[in-house]
Amino acid sequence: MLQSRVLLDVKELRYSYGERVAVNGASFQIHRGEIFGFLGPNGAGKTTTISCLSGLLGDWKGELLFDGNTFSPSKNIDDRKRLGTVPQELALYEDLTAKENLTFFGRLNALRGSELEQAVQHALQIAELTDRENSRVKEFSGGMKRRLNLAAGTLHKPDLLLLDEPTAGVDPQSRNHIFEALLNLKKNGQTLLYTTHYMEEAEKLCDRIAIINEGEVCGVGTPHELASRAGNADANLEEIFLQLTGRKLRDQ
Amino acid sequence: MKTITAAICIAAKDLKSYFRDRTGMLLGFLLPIILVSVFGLTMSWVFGSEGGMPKSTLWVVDEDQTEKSEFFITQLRSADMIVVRPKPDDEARSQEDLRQEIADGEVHHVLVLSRGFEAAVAAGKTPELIMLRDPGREMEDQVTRISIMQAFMATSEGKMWPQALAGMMDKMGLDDQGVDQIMGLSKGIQATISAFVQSSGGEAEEPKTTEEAKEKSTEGGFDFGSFMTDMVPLTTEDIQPPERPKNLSYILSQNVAGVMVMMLMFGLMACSSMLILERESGALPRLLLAAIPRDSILLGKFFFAVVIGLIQLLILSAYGELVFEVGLFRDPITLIIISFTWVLAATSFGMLIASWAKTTKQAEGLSTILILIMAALGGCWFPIQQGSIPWGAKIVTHSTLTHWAMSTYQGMLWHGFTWSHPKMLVSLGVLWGFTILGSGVAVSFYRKRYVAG
Ligand SMILES: Nc1ncnc2c1ncn2[C@@H]1O[C@H](COP(=O)(O)OP(=O)(O)OP(=O)(O)O)[C@@H](O)[C@H]1O
Ligand SMILES: [Mg+2]
Repeated sequence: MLQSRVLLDVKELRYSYGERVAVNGASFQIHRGEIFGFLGPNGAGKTTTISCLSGLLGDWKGELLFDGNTFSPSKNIDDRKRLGTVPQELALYEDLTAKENLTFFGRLNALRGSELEQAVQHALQIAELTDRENSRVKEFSGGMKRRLNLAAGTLHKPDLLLLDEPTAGVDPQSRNHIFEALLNLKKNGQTLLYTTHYMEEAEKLCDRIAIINEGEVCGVGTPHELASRAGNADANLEEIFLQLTGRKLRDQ
Repeated sequence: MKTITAAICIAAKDLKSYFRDRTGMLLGFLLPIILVSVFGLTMSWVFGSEGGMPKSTLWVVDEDQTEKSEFFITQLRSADMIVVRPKPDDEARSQEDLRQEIADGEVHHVLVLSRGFEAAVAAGKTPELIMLRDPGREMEDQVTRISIMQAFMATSEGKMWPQALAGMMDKMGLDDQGVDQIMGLSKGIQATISAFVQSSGGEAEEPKTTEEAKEKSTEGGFDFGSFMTDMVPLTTEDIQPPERPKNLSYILSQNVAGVMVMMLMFGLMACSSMLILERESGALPRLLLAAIPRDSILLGKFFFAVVIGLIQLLILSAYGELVFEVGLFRDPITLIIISFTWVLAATSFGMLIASWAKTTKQAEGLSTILILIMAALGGCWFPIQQGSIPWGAKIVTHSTLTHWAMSTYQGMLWHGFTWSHPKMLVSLGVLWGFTILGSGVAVSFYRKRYVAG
């Protein structure tokens, strides 16, 4: 039987923080082997959506299907194993070295022995930190930390890698490092969900993009599809984005 | 089982971080040691290393100015528990002068030897001794009286014993028949009294005849029974619990135990807030999203705190033993059991606070207050267990964790109980009960606060 193209199917996802609706019936599909862009202004609900998908938040409404099966990572450890998450905030231990951080997270994801050793070495390569593996994270620059933060999510070779603004606060060089790393992962068959509010990042990196605004998905497709749907095939993503999301400040 | 493996992994990570911060770690371990030293030293200055009682100052006015009265004062000076003023070479003070000093709160006990002291003693009569005192200084009353009594017995060579005793009994409300009986008894032992006074050098030892007398004497307040045994050497037999070190006083053991119990709580406070730090550091999501049962995160913090707590207690015990020789390691099994139990209970307490608090500030603020209150009420600072307190207050003190921890340590140090003694089992049981209950509540707080709801 042929594997379905859809890896993760998100149907009518809703989440509220008390009274405040953060995700309001978002639906989209992530295809195998693609980089799926999640584009939206500040406060649009990107982090909240990722948190629902990853299992950090559990009491959302709607339906998640992973490989066609009901998916509930907040309750099910095996579901969590299928995901790798790169949080928006750096999630590293400053007192530990790069290698110790990776070894620890690898161990928590059930890696042991030589498998763990290999995974750590591979992750160090992704982060381009092999020569700094024994330095403590607190001695790293912002860009190095970002790269390590990213690599820590890939250790256990998840089926889907969730990235929440992995390039926040890094210089163009580090950003390029990260892009290359992501494209490399994709080349090896990794599926990625990439969250950002930078249009050019999404345009450059992503196969398909969902534009999210005020908790709702207001457009999904390749950059080209989105442009023609906006009625102007030559429009760049920024114009489409502004057209779809409006021009006023969102996170007020 | 998976939970435990994951918890060990998390605890190992925390230990690695903890020991990497050398300064922080040293401070964590040194602070308790510094405090034990300061507490222990000041206490031994105040209470002396042996008596377990503060020395009381007694001023004397000799209006008789005879050989006998001077001999009496010399005897008083040799008493261990009091300091007699004026010093031998200092100028004598007048009664009026000292009355004023009492009124000013500068002096609390003044003994006046009225004229005719020598004559009365020679005639076998009770001489007139006047005690001027500040009624607010009851605490010093007992030692002062005992010292005076002994000096007096030495001076009168035992002749005054029956009269003095009868007078005292009368004052204490004994009926005539009782007085007669005791008078008869005491006449028989009168002959040995001077020998006793001389041999003991006027020193008031803490005589213990039975187990009961021992417990009573540790309870402070004036106890006629033990006073009697002081005065009647024939029935006196010192039973020093064989295991207890000679130089261990109640106050010292109370103190060492108190600081250990309190400092462990402070030491663990920092460890417990590791859970909150984990969240504040931003690394918590990665733990929550890892392929491990989520309870193992809390359990990992618990393991970490227990390891640090055990190391802290070990260092404190070793240091306390080295410096104060209180005999902590007399019974290693009991020491291990009570230390382990206390570490678990204190860790549960820390976890309870950490899983409840939203920020490290909240956790540290709340636990500082609670630890200080519990330390005071549980008897870490003052020997509350010694005093007889009203039952309402007893309920309050008994509801602190520190009370039960103190009673296990005091049970071992002072009473020489092993862990299986019924009293120890009760205290240990209470601590275990709290451990189970406290961790249970901590887990439910944790699930609500940290795990996706
Ligand atoms: N813990 C929270 N409690 C209450 N409201 C929250 C919380 N986290 C987010 N929100 C609200 O939910 C909405 C969506 O926030 P979210 O963080 O998902 O946006 P985002 O798209 O990730 O924004 P950014 O680009 O700034 O990271 C916002 O209005 C935000 O204020
Ligand atoms: Mg966000």
